[in-house]
Amino acid sequence: MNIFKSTIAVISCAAIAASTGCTGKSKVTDQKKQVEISFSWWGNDDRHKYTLEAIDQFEALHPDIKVNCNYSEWSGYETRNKVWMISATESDVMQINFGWLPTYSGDGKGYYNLWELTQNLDLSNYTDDILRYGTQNGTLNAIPIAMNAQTVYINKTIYDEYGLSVPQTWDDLFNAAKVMKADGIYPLSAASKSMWLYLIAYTEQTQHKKILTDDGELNFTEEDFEVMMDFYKRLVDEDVMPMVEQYERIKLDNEEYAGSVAWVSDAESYFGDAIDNGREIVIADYTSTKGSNAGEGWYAKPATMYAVSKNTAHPKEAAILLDFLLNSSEMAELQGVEKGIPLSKNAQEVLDDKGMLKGLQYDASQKMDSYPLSELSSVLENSGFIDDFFAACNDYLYDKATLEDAAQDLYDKASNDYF
Amino acid sequence: MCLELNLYQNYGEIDEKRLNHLKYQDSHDIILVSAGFYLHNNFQEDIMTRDQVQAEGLVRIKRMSVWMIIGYAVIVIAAVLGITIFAVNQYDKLTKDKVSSMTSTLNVQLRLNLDSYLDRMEKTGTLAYSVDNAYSYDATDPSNDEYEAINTEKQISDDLYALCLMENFVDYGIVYSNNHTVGKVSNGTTKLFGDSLYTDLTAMINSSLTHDGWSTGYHGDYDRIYYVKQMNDNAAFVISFYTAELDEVFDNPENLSDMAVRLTDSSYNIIYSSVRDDIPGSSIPNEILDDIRGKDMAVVSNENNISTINSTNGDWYIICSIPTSIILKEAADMRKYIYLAALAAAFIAALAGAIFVRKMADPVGTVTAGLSDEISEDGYENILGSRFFRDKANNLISKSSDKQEFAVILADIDNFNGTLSEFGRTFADSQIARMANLIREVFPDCECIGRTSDNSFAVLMKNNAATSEFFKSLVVSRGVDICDMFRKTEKSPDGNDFEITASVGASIGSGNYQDIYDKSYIALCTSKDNGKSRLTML
Repeated sequence: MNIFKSTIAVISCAAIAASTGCTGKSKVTDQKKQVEISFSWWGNDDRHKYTLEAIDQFEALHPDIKVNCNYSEWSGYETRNKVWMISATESDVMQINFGWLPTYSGDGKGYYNLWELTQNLDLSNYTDDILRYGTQNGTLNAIPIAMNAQTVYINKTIYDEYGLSVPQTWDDLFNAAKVMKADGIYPLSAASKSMWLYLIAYTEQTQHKKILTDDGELNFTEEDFEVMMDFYKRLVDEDVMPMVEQYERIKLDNEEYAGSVAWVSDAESYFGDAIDNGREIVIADYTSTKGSNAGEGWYAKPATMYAVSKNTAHPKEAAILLDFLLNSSEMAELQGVEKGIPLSKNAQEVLDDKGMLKGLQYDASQKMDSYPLSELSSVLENSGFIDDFFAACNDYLYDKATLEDAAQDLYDKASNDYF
Repeated sequence: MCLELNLYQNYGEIDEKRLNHLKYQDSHDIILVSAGFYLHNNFQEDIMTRDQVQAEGLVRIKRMSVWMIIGYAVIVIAAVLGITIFAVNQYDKLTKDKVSSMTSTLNVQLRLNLDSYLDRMEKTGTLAYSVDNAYSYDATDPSNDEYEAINTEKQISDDLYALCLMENFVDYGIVYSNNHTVGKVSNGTTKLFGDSLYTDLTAMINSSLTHDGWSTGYHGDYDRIYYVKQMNDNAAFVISFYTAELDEVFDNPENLSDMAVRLTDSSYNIIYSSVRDDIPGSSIPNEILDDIRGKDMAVVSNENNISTINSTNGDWYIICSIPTSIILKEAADMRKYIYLAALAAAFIAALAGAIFVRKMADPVGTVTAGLSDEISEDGYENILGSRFFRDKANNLISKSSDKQEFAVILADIDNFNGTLSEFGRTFADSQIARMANLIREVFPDCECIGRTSDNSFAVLMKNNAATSEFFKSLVVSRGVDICDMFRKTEKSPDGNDFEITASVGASIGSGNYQDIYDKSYIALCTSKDNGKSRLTML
């Protein structure tokens, strides 16, 4: 009978325990914790696509990190970045321009000190010379992704149709225009910044002086600007290049432009379709007065850089993302040479192993590396300076001002606002 | 009864008349009082004895108790499993209902999110009207001064850039009927639309009231979503953004992370999908399409999926779906534990029931078994009680052929009362035990041995293929052995010699136990009458 009673007792206890939830304690279930960081960049459609794909892969690798993306084309991006920076709402990880380092971090405190993130950021892939590009006042603020320079891309197929050789001198371009303009074709084209730098190259070659002194002061005079502006007018008037306001990149595809001055990193986006359509696109020598240019008047710079916000609340996660963007095989494969030949040794090895170090962009990089180009100062990329230049040009082109007055106005404004 | 036996012992001789006198006879039974057991004179071979009935009853009780336990266990397990299956099915149904409700709620929330997002885009677009000359300037007017036009367009462009500064817009600008653009109109857009830029963009306008419209999938490109608004007869304002931007709109709650969220156009082509492998522009999976086609604001639940559909932004659809297998995955896991728990509970209940039934049936079995033991044995190992010996001997003889010879040997301790009075009970009992041991020793191959009274034993022997003569001589020899081996002299307390002896009577017969026994009894009486401590064989 004892066994009988014990059995009943055990069953009763089990039933009571089950019906009361056994313990009566609250159950706590942790929700998935994610650190949210943001990442901003500019670029074309292709860059957006592969970067978003890379972020997907990064989030899959790091499910505890969510990345919010801010991106758009270059047009207007500089202003957008300015708003972010001055309102302290910038992204945790940023693609920045080389020229923004002195603008926002003259004392080295405008961006995070990346030396403090080496636990999650592998800097051994970079030489000291490369890191020096991102160093401000002794602080490592940014890491360059690749080097960049203005490059002359020529649709050789069109030139061949007119029996023209690939232009090497300024005169070659004017001669080509004489042949092509009957068909409404410009031998060359450029968006505003490329045109601006192209004109500087011409002026430095013809005036035999650099636009800036070694310590970054304005070296050009009113007369030098007159040369620049007058040459621009010649290019436009003689249908060598269209006005920057009338520049439409689609006309490269339509073959209304037989070439373009653009960054090394623009090669694929500018001429990818033309190459796909069987056109032969070549990298011309840097245009010069005599056809034997050793790079005089031409500048190079880090293509773009990555920096971390000084205000980031999540430096560790930002460093993890930054390391992924710079050194990971996933990003290297997706990015390829879209931004130029990556400076990260690991990324280079990945591309080399995959046979991806080839194509127009690679050729442009090789051309850049074959000349000792000067380092591009950030002031020369200042969009205000460039806008002011073309506004002055328009005053001159449309007879709203004399060349001298327009140049004088520009010189005064540049001296006051940018130096 | 002992008294009667003692009478025989005292009389010294016995005859048929006395024997008959000592038998009590009624209409059915002859009771041999001196032997101390009942005999049925009317038993037949096919009628069981009372002991057999009791034994069989005991077996039945035990068998019934086993069946009761098995039956109880089956009923309990079936009941528990039945209730469990019902409960589990109800739980599955409840789970599906709850997920359907959550899915529907999520879908509505996502629709509100999307409406809110698109509304914000439209309002950001409307801000373009705040830009001087934006809606009044006509870039197609041939009378425009080129210089003024450049400056005007630059001003408009700068202002538009400022307005869209914080959004990830691909396009935020004005397209004129001559395909000239002002503001932020990307190279990708101009390349995609080509010479049809203005006409194809304005074709996206589908609201005659507000002169605007949303569209995607232009030339199969579902990467971008466009919002177009007619500004004047020759100008349209365009906003576009990547569909990837909708990630923040369709961000799934963690507990519904397995749910597929898709935004489709009116043809159910995917504009946005949370499913990584989905290809923008492709149709949604057929099994989901079959469920939701032609429906709106509906929840469709079947064995494969739970899907909800809500229309939004005119003719787009938000479709949320989740495979039933995922919904019920946890339920399936839980079902496994429930079944295991139910089986354990059923087992425990059956075990408890078995113990209960056993305890209920035990008293009867115990009592019956006790009685049976008492009947079958009489205090000495392999020595049957009187009735059990009788039944067994009777059964053995009656079930044998009529020619099969059996011998019944009766051994009786002489002057047992005298032994008792001289030596006491303990000594007397030891003599009984000695006799029991002696009989077992002398008759190791007998059929059975019974204790027929306090000081009497009976042995049933079977003639196993021996001649009658040999069998008789064997019985005689053993009977004599009993007498001789049992005989011994003890000193009484008062110093006199006291002979302890036993008399044996035996007979051989076949077919009827009672006849053989009666003859043996007469033989025993003869031995007693003739001086005791001897064998008489009849």
